[in-house]
Amino acid sequence: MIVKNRKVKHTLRNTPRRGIKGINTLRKGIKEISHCAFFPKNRKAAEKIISIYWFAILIIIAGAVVAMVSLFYGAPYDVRSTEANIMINQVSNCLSENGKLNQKLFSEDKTFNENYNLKEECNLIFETEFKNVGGEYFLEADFYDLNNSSGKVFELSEGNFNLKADCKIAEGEKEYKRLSKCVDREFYSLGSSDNVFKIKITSAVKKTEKNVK
Amino acid sequence: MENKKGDILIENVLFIVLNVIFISILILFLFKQSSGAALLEQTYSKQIALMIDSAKPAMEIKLNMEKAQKIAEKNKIDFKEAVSITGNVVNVKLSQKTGYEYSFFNNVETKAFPETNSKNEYTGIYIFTINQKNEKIK
Repeated sequence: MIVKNRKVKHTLRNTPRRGIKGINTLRKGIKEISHCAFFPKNRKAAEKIISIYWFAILIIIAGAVVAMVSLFYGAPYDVRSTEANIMINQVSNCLSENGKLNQKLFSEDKTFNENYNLKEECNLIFETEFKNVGGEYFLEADFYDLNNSSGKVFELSEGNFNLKADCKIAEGEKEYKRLSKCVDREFYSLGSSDNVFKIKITSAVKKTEKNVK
Repeated sequence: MENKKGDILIENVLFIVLNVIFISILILFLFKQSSGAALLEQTYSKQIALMIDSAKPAMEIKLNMEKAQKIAEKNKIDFKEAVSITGNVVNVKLSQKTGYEYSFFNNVETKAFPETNSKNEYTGIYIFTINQKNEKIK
């Protein structure tokens, strides 16, 4: 029932009730409804409608809280960056000891050993609980001779090479959650004939099923 | 006049009580969600996997898993079976229906077992021993 722009004699109590808008008290017992009033004249019926609105508000609040909590706790913890960093630490420890490159990296003629097995020498295992093709890890170590301006002199790589493409995309401004997480770090070390090398290690971890919703 | 005052008081008291009940239910829900078995399984399995990744052979690592112990006991799971390591996959199981596994890349031999006191009771701490694989030693 809608009452519009009409003075109404009310039997409601003197003080205006909390939550009822559009009712201004003129004098005791008489109220003017300046806008559309959606409440019936009967006090009990009006209270029923208010209680329905109240329940609706409670349900909306509860729903919002449940949705937010489910979203927050439903999303898995993304530990891929940490994992990639740990992998880089492990690889750098095995490539360089006490500031000198591992002697196994060099062959007898003091050139880089092409048969150096990064996975085996650095104690790595790339098989995971996921049975998909290719693997979930990618690892690359690039060696730059600082005494020689020819740039990269040697490289080692292991794992799923397709993940390297993800690293290129991730270099952009936009962050893609479903792509592999890539971390690259570099350090300096002395070679076999005391020449300085810069070693850049790139590590990529996919594992999107367990880390991204 | 008395009835009117009484009405107002009962209405207000009821309103406050219902609000308190509503907020309490929401807070309980929040606490239950944050300490659920599924969430803890995920947290512990990832934590253990990362811990093994950064470990070196001949290390012994102790991890406080009191929260996991409480939940496992509540769900009638032996704390000894809460953590298992098969190959390079860590599996944490804190309830009959659920379980979470996560792999590590460090090629080491790892054993996991719960710490017990002199009375053979679990202390809530899990011990992880990291050793070089037999094939590597050869």
